Amino acid sequence: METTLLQLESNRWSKVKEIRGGMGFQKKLENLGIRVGVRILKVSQTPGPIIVKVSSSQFAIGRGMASKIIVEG
Amino acid sequence: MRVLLVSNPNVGKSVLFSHLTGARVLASNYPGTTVEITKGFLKLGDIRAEVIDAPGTYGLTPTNKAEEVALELLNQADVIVNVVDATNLERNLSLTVDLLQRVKKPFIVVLNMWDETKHKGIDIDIEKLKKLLGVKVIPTCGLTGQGVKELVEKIKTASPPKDLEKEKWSFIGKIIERVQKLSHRHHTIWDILEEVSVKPPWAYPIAVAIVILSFQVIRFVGEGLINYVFAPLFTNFYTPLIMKLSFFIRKSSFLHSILIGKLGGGEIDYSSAFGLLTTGLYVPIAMVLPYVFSFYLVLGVLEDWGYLPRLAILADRAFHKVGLHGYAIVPMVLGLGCNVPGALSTRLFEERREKFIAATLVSIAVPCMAQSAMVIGVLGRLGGQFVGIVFLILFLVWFILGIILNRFLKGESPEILVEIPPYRLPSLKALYKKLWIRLSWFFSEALPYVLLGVLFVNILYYLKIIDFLAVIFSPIMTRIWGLPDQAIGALIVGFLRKDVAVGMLRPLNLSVRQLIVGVTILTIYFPCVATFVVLLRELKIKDMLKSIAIMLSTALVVGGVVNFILSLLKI
Repeated sequence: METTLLQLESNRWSKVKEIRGGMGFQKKLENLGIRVGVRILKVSQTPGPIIVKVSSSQFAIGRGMASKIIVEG
Repeated sequence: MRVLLVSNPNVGKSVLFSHLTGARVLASNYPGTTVEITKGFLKLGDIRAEVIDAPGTYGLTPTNKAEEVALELLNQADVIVNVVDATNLERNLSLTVDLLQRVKKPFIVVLNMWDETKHKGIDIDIEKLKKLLGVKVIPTCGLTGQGVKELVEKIKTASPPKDLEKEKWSFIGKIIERVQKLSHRHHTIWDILEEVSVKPPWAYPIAVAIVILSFQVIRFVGEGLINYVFAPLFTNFYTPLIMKLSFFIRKSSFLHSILIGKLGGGEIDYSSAFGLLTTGLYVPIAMVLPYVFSFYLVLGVLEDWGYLPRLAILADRAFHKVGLHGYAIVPMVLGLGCNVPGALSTRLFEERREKFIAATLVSIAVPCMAQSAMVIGVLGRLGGQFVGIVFLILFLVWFILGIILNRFLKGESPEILVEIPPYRLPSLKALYKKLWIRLSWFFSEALPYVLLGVLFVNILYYLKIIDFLAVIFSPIMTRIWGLPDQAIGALIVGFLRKDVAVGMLRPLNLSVRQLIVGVTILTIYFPCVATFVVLLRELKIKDMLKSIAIMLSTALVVGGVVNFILSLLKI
């Protein structure tokens, strides 16, 4: 099963399966440590961005971007 | 010799820099402020080494201007000091490995935040890390300065890296596996606070409470300094001096009006006398400085503690309505202190459209602290609610104008993608240094303009230029805005300094409605000259002209509407 980071429920650990979008976007995420294969925790969902945790850093990611990050559902 | 400090954002590099150089540098908790490079000097035996604080970067393929700058600096450096957040080794090593593979220069890895690893249950084997990376590794703590001495000693003998494995992530995976051990630990109060402050629904009331509390503290400290320190100092010590001086200069002379100004009945009304030695010193020192001080004190704490990025996240949706994303809260908040850094920080946006909207909104609807202090001083004595009305009007202008700009400018608003740094106890040393730079900036940049403004006012009156312009602009001033002709003087001086301009409204004996309209227009119609110069550089001439057209027409419309509505409300 797979879903997007946007649709994943809060407080759930998952694994990044695919990042859709251009090279620039993928590179940007990779620099932050968000890449295919890493474990990712969706911390919460605000009315604006979603909050995720990867290893020990937290990030806020806009909804459009979050819908391009495919994770295990 | 050139030493370059390079790291991810939010790893305490700037604090470390201030330890190394003793220079007064700006260190804060959110990415974006270090776009401007800071330099300092360090004595290494008999050589003086130049230390450069590069903008924080996540990787070597630049995704924005700040990162491009960091790359250029790499080529010019002789020694690379890569600062790594020890509590976040895996993510930080990505940049470290990129650097080690690409830059064959003397290299030192600094494990900063070393003290925090223990609380966080992280155990790092430094010896093994040294071996795997092939360069020197030194643990430090930015808050206490621990490890800095060792770093200084090792800079001269640093050696370049050897060849490493090609596959970056598998190499990093191997390092983490061999070097780092994590032990389970319980949630601390900080973790809980961090979580609650970005999780709806509680995040919102917390944000509102923090913002209100911040403004209360700013007001309390500012007012306290004025009432108990600066005002008494002036009345008890300075006034007698000025009275003596006034006695020796002929009252009707030009010199008297330039230096001392109008004295009403043997008393000095500092805010309306308009002499260089009276209003020219009293306004910046006794009315504005206390608020500037308290504002930057509170802002410094919010920045270094790590709350601003959280506020940005919570405000993200509202900012999307005006064509920006949540991080645009940074130029807005900085603009509340002074519009110049507010306008400068629009650099953190990559899109021209975003930059234009943010810069225009800052200069139109965000009153700087110098102006706010004067509004509180002049309008506040008639009732605090009137000051509230001014801020409400400006907020509505900000929002409505933003929605209009977003609607009519081509393009989309980009999305937020930002690291949320952990909460950290602010370092007193860093706070003090930051406050010091900001205040000395106020003295060197603002004070001369205030004096120039006061001098300018005197010349304008002396040459009767204000009377002349008053006649020309009378239709707009009186018919649309309901202000007396003479208020044009304030608008002219507003180009130089907004605080002096607000002060000029005082002697005109305006009604409450006129004062509200006057100070609102003064905020909107044009930025002060210092902000103007920065905007021109950032936006370029074409966008600047567009922005000015928007400012002038907004002032015209808002002034008229506010005047009309207030007259209906019988204010």
